[in-house]
Amino acid sequence: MRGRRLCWLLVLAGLVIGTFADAVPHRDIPRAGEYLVLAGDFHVHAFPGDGTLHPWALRAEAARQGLDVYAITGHNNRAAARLWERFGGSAGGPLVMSGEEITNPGYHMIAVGTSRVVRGDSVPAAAAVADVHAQGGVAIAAHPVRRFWNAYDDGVVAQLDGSEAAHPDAKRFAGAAEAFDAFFARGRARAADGSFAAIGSSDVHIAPRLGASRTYLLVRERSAAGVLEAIRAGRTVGSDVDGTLHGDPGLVRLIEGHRPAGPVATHQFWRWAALALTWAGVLGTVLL
Amino acid sequence: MLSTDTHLALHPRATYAALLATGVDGRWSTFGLRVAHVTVLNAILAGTAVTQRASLGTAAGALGAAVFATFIQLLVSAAVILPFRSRTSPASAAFSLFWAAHLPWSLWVVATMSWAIIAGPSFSLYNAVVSAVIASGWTAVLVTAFGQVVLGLTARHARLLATAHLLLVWTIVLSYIAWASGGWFQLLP
Repeated sequence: MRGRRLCWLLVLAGLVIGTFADAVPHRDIPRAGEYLVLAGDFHVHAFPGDGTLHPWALRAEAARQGLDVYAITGHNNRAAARLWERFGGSAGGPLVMSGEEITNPGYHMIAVGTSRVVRGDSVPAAAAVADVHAQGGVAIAAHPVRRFWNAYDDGVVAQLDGSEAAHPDAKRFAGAAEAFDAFFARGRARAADGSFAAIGSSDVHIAPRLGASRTYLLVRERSAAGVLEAIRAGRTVGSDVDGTLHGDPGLVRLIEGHRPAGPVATHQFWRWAALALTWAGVLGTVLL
Repeated sequence: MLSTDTHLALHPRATYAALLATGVDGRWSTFGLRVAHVTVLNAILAGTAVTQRASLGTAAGALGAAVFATFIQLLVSAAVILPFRSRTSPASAAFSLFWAAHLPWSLWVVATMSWAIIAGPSFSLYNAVVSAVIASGWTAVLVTAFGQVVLGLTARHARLLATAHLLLVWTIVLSYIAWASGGWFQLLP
């Protein structure tokens, strides 16, 4: 019993130290000519759903990770997004956008800026894109590995607003990185005016962390409308988990010179000490 | 040195018998503390894993998911315990004894969340769910012992109870995963 109490003290000490070591970095939004450069993550899973953090915790985490905007994208559901819409939060902090990961056996597609569910399990990709556009949102091909390509004929690709050119699956599965690059190139070639957005997303459930892979956007205004306009116009660059940029070479060069600050690693020693104390304490309370 | 819960996980029948012989703390408050312990640990582990930081805020961020998981476990506990009038202890004590068998799942959560922190982008949610088979099988052994010693069932009926518990848990878990991941087709290879 004494051992367990000691372990609880370790847990508490770890959490308190971690709380004090946990600083939210101050960020200035850089400018590139007439545009503001924002950092976003448009493929985020929350609880309720198959994510871990509830929308309010995600927002705090987005601020720590140096994100200006993120979208809550449940699979064929808007439970977490609806929770945020209904109860919301304060005006400050990162923009929170509602969306969905439209999930079909043949394809996955991110919808951002939508207001109702698109039942992806029962609609072809063309109908899903049309529904997203009818709702005023943007449609982005999610982690387009080769097994999803059959769902996207040239007509559908021409209607898409962009594709995930940077995604953690590029590191997980052989051939995924090449497939993402090839799909993005195809999207650019098919887009009527060449505007096809390169998106970087974390697809966070438990790991990797929020914003591990992210999108840099050149926006005219820091608002949901400004974000959607930038995606429609293709003024985006995807950044993968290593920080390598993907997208239009001209925009990549531009962002390289104006890349917003990412997460700031403050008090690294204390953060790791807090993690070690907490983890040791937790294991102790389970076993002792 | 090791807790009663750990002894129970290693020697379930003997430990359950010893606990009943020495008298079980049958207060609901004791059971409440046990439930709170499991819930808080799950919130700390999940919040820490997903943010790769330990803080009061990260633990609070995963509290919703942890409370939901606890609620499901409470429903399953009630389904296992309440129908059996043959049990050898009051309901509150039986609930406490049933929740004392949490170690396989608690260790699985610790292992999975540690793996998430270490593996980062290469962490596989699918493999994590598959690895739960070990915790599930271990728990079935503990539930069998619980059925025999605490509920007073025969060995055969205790095994049936463990099977029913296993089916109930996985039906609920897989149904939730199917909803949360977009449909049952997501769970098929």
